[in-house]
Amino acid sequence: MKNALIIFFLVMPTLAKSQTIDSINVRCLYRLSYVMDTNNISQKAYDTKVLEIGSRSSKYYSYERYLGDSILNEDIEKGVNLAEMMSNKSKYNKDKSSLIVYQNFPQNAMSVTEDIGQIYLYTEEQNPQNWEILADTQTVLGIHCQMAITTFRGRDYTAWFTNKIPSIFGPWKFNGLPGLIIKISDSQNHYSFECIRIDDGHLLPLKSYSKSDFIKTTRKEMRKMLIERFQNPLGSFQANSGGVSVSFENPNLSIPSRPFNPIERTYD
Amino acid sequence: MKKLITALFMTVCVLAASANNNTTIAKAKMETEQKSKKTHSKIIVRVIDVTLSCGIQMSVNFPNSWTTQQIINWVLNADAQLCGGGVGGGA
Repeated sequence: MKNALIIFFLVMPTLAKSQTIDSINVRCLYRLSYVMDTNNISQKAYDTKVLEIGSRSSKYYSYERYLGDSILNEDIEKGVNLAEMMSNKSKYNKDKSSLIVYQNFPQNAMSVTEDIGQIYLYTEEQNPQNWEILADTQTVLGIHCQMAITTFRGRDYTAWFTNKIPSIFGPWKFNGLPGLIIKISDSQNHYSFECIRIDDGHLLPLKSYSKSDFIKTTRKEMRKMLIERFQNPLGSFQANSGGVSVSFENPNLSIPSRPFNPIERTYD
Repeated sequence: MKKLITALFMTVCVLAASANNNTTIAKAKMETEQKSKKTHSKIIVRVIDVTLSCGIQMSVNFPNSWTTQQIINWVLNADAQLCGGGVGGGA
């Protein structure tokens, strides 16, 4: 009994951390460009995304957010002052999404986490898009690619994929093609993912989230919260303050709504 | 047996407390003012005066259990949300 208790206390901290769910075979970097405001489509925002592909699952996240988190951990170890820490992290995190998508984790499901003041987690079914593979070809990143089209949650997409890298997992929630997606964009070019680098994953661990860190929600609820975030920034901020009490210097503070152009237009 | 559990529990508490001290922001020098206060329930909270990039000023009470990472993430989220900033539109 004594031994069991000691083992429990020794193992407990590791249980709370992220778990390895697969080994990374291939790691791809994508350049995501997107339109925030449909009234100003010439102004685009950018992010660099990582897609880690294992034999069973994949993980998709912002490379710059990851760099920001790594630098913050390093700064904490070095004892850097808070202002500098914040400045260093914001260089990488400014305007970068905290979204992480795990495909086929748990099995036959997709897990999505996003930090919007508090970190939320929802799961949905791992349903492949209904792809139509066409004969057209194009060379992207020096790779011979084939064209495929699909409609997904209110947008029509054209994808260029390669059979040379077999993977049913693609960037974001795209999946179901016989090879890796090298480039994909919607018909209005509001959202475009273009592969900029492919590396061997060296079978490094593909890690999942720590279950204890998240508030469970649904995709529908998440959409509501995101809409609220843009339509009523102050109200949404106060609703998601995570148990932190805030008093504004200006009690009459008001913040106007902002344009929102979500990649998913339908949520049924 | 009781003693063992008590000892283990106390060790966990001490470790947790020292972890908080290691990541304490009280020593940090920055433009925001920092102070600690005890509430009536003896829970220590950290009060930080924050000025966001768009000039919004607020006083924030963070639970003492929060790590530096949590506080920084919270402030950066607040800045993105209240001062405007992309969140990727869900991508």
